[in-house]
Amino acid sequence: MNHNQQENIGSKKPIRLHKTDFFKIFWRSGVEQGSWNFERMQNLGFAYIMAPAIKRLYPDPSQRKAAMKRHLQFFNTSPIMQSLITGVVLSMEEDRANGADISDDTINAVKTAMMGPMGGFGDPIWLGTIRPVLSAFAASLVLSGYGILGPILFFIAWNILRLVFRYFCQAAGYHHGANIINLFNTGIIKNVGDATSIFGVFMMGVIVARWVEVDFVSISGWFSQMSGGHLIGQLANSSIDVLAPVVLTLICVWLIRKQVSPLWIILGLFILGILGYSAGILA
Amino acid sequence: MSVVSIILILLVAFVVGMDGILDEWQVYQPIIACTLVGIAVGNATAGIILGATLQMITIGWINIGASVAPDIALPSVISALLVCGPAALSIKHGIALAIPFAVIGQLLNIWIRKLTVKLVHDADQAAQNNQISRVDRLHLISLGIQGLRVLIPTILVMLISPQYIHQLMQQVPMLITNGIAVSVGMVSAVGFANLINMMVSKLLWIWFAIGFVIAIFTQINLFVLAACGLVVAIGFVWLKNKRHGASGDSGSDDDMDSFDKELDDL
Repeated sequence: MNHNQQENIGSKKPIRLHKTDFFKIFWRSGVEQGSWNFERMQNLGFAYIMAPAIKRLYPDPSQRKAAMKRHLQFFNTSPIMQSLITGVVLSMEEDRANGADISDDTINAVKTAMMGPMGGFGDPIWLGTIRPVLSAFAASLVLSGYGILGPILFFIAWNILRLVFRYFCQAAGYHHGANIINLFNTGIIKNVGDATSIFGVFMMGVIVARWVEVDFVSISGWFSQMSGGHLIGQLANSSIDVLAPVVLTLICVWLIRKQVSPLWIILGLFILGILGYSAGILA
Repeated sequence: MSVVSIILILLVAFVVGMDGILDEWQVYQPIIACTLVGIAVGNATAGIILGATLQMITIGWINIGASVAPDIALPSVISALLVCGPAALSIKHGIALAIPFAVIGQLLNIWIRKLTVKLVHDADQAAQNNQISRVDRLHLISLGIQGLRVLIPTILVMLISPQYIHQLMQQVPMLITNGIAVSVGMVSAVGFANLINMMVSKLLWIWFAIGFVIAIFTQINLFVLAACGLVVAIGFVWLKNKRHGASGDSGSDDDMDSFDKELDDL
């Protein structure tokens, strides 16, 4: 490298994101879904998140315009996992602003490559496991007399988990850049996903057992009259108590797999409840 | 209702509506939304209990990918308003009313998600003209419209005389009210079924069965069960990996394959 070139590079200071930009983006990433739409889903939301970085990195109007358009393309993922993608994209945009050869297509390809797996990984963990388990705890606290402690604990626990996780994901993505994709190959994602599914499904069994109630009044009485003995009546009664919730839940799973809308199933159960109550079977 | 109560309810409705689309703070989940409305009206206890009951019904209502589940935000606010407020409905009535409002909220949500496409086209134009702050504004306007989605119906319900609503619900035969109360315990099955449908692949049913059997035949506390479940789940995956790792290096490809399969299952 000759002297002239060296001077040239030295005089051009690299553009870096400021700490405040990083926090602004962190804050904005929590309102990503505000403009969720049926055409390009979270696209405007992602552009909104990137806006502070684009302002910082691209003083040149034509580059700025290109960057805005780049991030208005189709985007959809699990909202909380989006922080990892945001971090990676921030690092790529920063490199690009400093002259690295990164095309629009490369940035979009990385976003697209990450959003599918992150969606398939994040939704079952956050919405399928953590939220149901935390809110079931909270509801059980309320119904066993702890009152407002339930909602408060739910709010605090969820939001601490969410904010800490988001912050570390954004920071990790920013520091490692597109290399983070190598993480997908180490099996860590598979292991975390496996463990969460097992835990989530186990808890689902627990919660169904404790929460789904089908209260028959007269069947046990009917059974004991029929058999003339208390033992068989009790046995029938308790086995119905055990089986009814799980059978009902499995019927609902079957209906949902048959594409019946959950609301129709709920309506059906209301009608079943009214009929059962008026016939004196349910109480 | 006092002016302060009214302002607080409107504020809660707007925030809950925005969080309903964001899915971030979870303020829109019934257990929090109903509590907030209860506090705003000065009847926190009823709000908390209604919230916990509704929570068990809505626990599995999840927006995955591009699907829009029945709404949670609107029914939470309106039911809580009618139960805790001057209409003083029973919790049974509040839950029964939550279902039609879940449908209304869902339809409004789908309509707004279509409407937002127009704002996104405006944002394309703004990007073309290099107006970043206009892009920002369009995003926030969309968010505000989602807030109005809950705020406006709430105002409409508040305009109806609470005495009238109370009388109307009193005229519903006891048979129907009690029948619906009976079905509340069953209705939570639908939400769980939705979750199970999403989470459970063939290999995982055994874990569902284990959880169910332990919970129904013992009195072990939910916290203890969760802690044990977590330890067992992590231990199981760790052991599986250890066995897998000992069998040879060829495992990594299989790992990715089964991960893909599992993603498909989910």
